[in-house]
Amino acid sequence: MTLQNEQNITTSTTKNIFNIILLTVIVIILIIPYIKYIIFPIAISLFLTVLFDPIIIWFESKGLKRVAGIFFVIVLVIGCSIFFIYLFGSLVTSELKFIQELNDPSLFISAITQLPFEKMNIVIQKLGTNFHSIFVHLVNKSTHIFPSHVSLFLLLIFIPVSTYLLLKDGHYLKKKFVQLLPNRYFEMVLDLINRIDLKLSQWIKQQLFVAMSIACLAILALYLLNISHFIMNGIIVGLAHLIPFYGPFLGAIIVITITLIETGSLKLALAIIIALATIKLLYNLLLSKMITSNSINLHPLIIIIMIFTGSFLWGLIGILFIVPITTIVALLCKEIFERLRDYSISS
Amino acid sequence: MIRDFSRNGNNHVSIVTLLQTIPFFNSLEKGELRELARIVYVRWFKKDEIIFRQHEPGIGMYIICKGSVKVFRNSEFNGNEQVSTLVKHDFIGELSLVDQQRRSATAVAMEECCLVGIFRPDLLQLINRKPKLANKVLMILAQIISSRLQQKDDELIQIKEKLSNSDIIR
Repeated sequence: MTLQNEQNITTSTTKNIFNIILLTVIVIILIIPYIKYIIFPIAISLFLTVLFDPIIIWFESKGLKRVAGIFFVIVLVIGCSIFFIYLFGSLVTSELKFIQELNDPSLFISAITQLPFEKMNIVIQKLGTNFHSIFVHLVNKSTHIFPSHVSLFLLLIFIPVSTYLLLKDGHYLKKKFVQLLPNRYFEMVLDLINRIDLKLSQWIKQQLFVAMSIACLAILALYLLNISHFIMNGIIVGLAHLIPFYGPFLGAIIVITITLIETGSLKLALAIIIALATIKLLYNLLLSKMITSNSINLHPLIIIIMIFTGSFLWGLIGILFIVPITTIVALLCKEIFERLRDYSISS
Repeated sequence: MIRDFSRNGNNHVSIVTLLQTIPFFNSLEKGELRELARIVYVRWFKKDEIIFRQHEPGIGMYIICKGSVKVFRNSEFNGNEQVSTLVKHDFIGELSLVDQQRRSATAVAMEECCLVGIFRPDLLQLINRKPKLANKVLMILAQIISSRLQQKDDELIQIKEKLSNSDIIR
């Protein structure tokens, strides 16, 4: 086979693979509404696998068998969850009830009409009513993602079992999949899988660290400000911080809107702004230096488009999660194309 | 395909048996060979099938269990130049295990070959999971690389002697 022929075949193979990937992404997007109840538990299981794998590897290095390590970690997590629910169950239930309290716009409208724009009071009132109804619609849309009580119970069984199996046999399944590939693509795909595994796990751990740090600080700040549902609001602020550029603003808007709907107090809203700005400053000064770049920097325009897409698909939860999901997909695509490019080079 | 995805223990046992035939792994116990079998890949190549190409990113080495492999380099001046022919229990691509350089040559199967591949990401995971076994495997790989270096040193000395005998170098 001549060098020119090999290059031609390599170029057409690359194009074919690109077309297959594009078709797969389109098919996945089209069938997501039908299989969302399967995707979410699998995604959670994969996330937990990435989280627990380093701990289990540490146990293995100390001489404990992998199965025993996995069993120990899962039992510990389930035990801690049950303990947490036992201690804070009533608090968690009251946090979740806040969704029902959002439907009444009266306090929200009365709060924003206190702003010193007397000549525009009617306009502000109308805008406020519209904003409130959109906000409540987004929150209600998010609740439809979650399944009914019966299937929720099955989820609670499915997730631990699938996490256990992925931790125990994940490497075996990967090896079996790679063994099926023809020799031409074997090394490339093996390299690709390992790079994706490494970069994705690094990225997830970094983002989790950021979200948890911000959430803990926000929960503390909102607790000190005597905000009701401080846990839920703190978690929202933490998750919103995963969105580059707009995240802190979005988180602040959501929390302030909820507070205004519940209390109608502008002073409290101002105090929240100051608290969240302080948290952002602390993050920029202390935490941001600990985060290394993952070389996926989405353009602000793409982020806005993703935020609107997320709100359309899944409401408030969509707004918070769509950008991290997009970043993961972008990371995967980048790695795939880099490997295709590297392995297309001929001598 | 179904058999490949089934939890068939026989595949694993045959890989352990294959590893036992490789002289480099004589110092490993059976339990350690079983652990090593979890991370190695057994690949079959047809005659004239390319195993890896020059300038491709390399992530691991292969040990020849059956058949023979031709290694050649493509250079500007000499075109395709055969570097060596390797047979059973020889190894190829070992440098890719220790550094992230691209492949320095192309390897082609001269007949139907069975190769056992050991790759860097799996080796790094073994170092994290089983440090004692990983140390043994790294010592074996160091012996492999050092024997190749010794072989190249010997070849270089022979070439220099030939050149000095023909009075080209003074």
